[in-house]
Amino acid sequence: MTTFDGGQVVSRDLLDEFLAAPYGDHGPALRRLLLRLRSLPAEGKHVLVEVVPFRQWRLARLRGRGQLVELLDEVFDTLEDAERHVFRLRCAMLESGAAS
Amino acid sequence: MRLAPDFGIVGYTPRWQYRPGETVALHLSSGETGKADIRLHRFRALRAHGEELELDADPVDHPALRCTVAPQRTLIGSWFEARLDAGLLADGFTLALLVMPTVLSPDGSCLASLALGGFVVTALIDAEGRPILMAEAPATEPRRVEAPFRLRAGAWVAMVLGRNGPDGDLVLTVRDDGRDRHIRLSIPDAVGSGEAALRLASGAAASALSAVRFDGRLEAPILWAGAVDTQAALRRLDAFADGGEARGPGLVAAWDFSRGIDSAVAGDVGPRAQHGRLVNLPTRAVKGTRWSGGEQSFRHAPRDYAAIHFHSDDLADAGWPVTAELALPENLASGVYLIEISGQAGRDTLPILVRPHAPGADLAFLASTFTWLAYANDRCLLHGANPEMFASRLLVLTAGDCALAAHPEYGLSLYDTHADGSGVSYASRRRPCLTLRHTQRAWQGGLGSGLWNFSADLLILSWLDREGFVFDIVTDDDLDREGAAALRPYRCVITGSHPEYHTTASHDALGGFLDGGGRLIYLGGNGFYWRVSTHPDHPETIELRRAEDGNRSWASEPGEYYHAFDGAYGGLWRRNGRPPQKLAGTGYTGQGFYRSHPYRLSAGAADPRLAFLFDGVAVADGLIGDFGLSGGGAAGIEIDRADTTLGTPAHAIVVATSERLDDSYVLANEEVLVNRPTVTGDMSPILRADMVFFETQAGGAVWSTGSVAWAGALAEPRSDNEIAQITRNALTRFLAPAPFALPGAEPGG
Repeated sequence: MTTFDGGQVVSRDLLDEFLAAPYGDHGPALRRLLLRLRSLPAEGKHVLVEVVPFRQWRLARLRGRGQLVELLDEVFDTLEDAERHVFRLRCAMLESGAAS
Repeated sequence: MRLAPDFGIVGYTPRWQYRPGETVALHLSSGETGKADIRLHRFRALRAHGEELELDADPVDHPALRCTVAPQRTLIGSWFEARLDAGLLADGFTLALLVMPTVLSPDGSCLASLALGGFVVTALIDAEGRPILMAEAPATEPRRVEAPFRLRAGAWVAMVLGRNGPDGDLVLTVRDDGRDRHIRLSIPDAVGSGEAALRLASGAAASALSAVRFDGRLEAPILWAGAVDTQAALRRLDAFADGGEARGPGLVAAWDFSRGIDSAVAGDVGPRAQHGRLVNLPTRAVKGTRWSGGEQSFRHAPRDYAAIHFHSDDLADAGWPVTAELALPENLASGVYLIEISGQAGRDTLPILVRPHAPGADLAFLASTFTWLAYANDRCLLHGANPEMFASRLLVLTAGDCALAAHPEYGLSLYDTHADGSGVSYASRRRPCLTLRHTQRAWQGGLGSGLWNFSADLLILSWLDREGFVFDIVTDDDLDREGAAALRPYRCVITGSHPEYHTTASHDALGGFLDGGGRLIYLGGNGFYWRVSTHPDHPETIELRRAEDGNRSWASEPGEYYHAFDGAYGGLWRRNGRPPQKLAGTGYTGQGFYRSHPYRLSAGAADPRLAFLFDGVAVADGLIGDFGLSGGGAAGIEIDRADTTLGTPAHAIVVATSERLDDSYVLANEEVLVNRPTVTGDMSPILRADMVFFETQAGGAVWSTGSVAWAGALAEPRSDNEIAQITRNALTRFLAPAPFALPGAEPGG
């Protein structure tokens, strides 16, 4: 189950629901989880940087006001794959307590 | 995409609209010095190819133009500066003023500096708020002393900085909550001669601290020659702030910030009228120490608004020199042009708008220059406001966004907050505005192309070009300067996707155009929403107050809802007696930045008054616009609804309404008196996009689509694009000479 106040474990069902269709019509539980994850503070937040417009994107992290974006290693050929990757990262952060 | 900027070279033009034959000054900078070629292109179209976009632009013949582009420095942050006679201060000086830091910058903040020739004294505060006095003189090590006490962000204090005689010590006194504290610095005997310069909120030009600014408010600076007893100086400061007489023995200057609030001049009420210059437009019409809440406008109580708010990230003029001048050919047709500057260091492509010498069409495209300026250098995705939640997907940074992250000195948008958390109220064009590019895409553009504001408006121009509709460009700035006369030659005005910001004069011009029988096609959403003003001395700058309500990325301080530039009450046009529905039949009701949706035709669509609109349009199931480059539908992003209680004319027809919005859509907060959980998706009956048509008394008509996403559907390259067919029908009828008749009236009657 998913909770937001301590033991924050993302269920396999929610994980599968998102991974199957990152831009799909999500159910209420997944919508709540996504709102929570997308509301993480801007500083340190994962974003994408265009490598080739409409074709390729690189993972990056915001570093705060007036700072350059931190470019990470992962590169994606579809936005859906990027969504899946970041969703996994954020779920892991929730489970480890790094995101609350 | 062709001509895509990589921002290795970056530039700006001091204005965005020109006439044929005029010269465009190009202010350019680059990472490294190198040659660059300048070429002019006429924009024709952005075209979708699969998931990508291509630019169609024609080269324009003009004499070859080559220049050398070199790195430029941008002096960001606002300050006050007054030139004085150093001889007046040779026997010492006393400066008193009221100070409120709003944030303690990690890099320190400069309260005041006085340069006497090469000799400079500076009062600073460090990252913890400790005052520091510093003295610099040629060929000597700087001297400094640090206070054992601190100033606090958000708290006003009175300060006196004085030097007792030509060889006296420098003494800083801070009165905080009735308690006086001092620091003292022994400084060299040498005093400068010639010109003196007093700066507030900045280090002196000749100082190592010249780029150190201040975030906070200052009030009532007063300067005397020679030493003035500290207690007497504090009493006289207090009296001056109360509105009392500043003149007296030894007075050099007293700058009353409550005067000339609509200017960039700080008036000196002293004997020499040595007025101060405000560089980079710090915010005026802000509350000072005397504000009681009794009045809300500086015009009713100037003394309450005798402070100026300086920001370390204000930028009214980047001040780069003119690198090259491009003479526009005399025979240039009206339209959007792209100035390509490319060289070894990289490329930038600056759009300009060309308005004809004389009207050459029945149709005018109203370029939303105020809206483009309001969003210029929008950094909300880089810090602050968490737009991923609104976007419902990961944020994607374009080359322009990355360039903005690398260059904070290009300044902020009206959506950003300053470093101290206060809202950005002023936006200027005299700086690189990286979001004004044909390649710009943003999270607000929804799934798909991501085109937004200027680049989304290019889709409308692309379609006009493809359809062969002849049009002239007219800008918001033209309406602001010339009023309805700018539109009088035209039978029909068509807007962009998002004509959100208008001044009183530009709004009046549209109203006057309709009153004179003009026809308006409002091809967007969230139009005519915020009121802005232009600065009398800086017409390239607009002011915004995010007052009362409306969707706000920040909120103006209570008591600061009136514009400094012209005294107008800021905020939503709806709060100023002009709901958008009164002008255009529809007005903003909500937004979602993810998907767009189709419209379902209403029963009213069958009204014979609308026969022209659906001529030849096949609508099998009552749905239109289930496609598009902006979220995949014609109805979406920012949307409007009809509402007769807000001014939609009673005889207006709601032609169509959006079909079932998804949960990323949220009702406008000006519609929410008590917060409730029914403000999203299809839960609220007033959260919808309405397409509206109505005739005017004067024989004109208005057709409003009520959706930012309309332009994206218009541009969808499909053979059976009913959105394009409907728009073509509307435009064809609106350009025909036959007047419209109010229902029940004879044509032309």
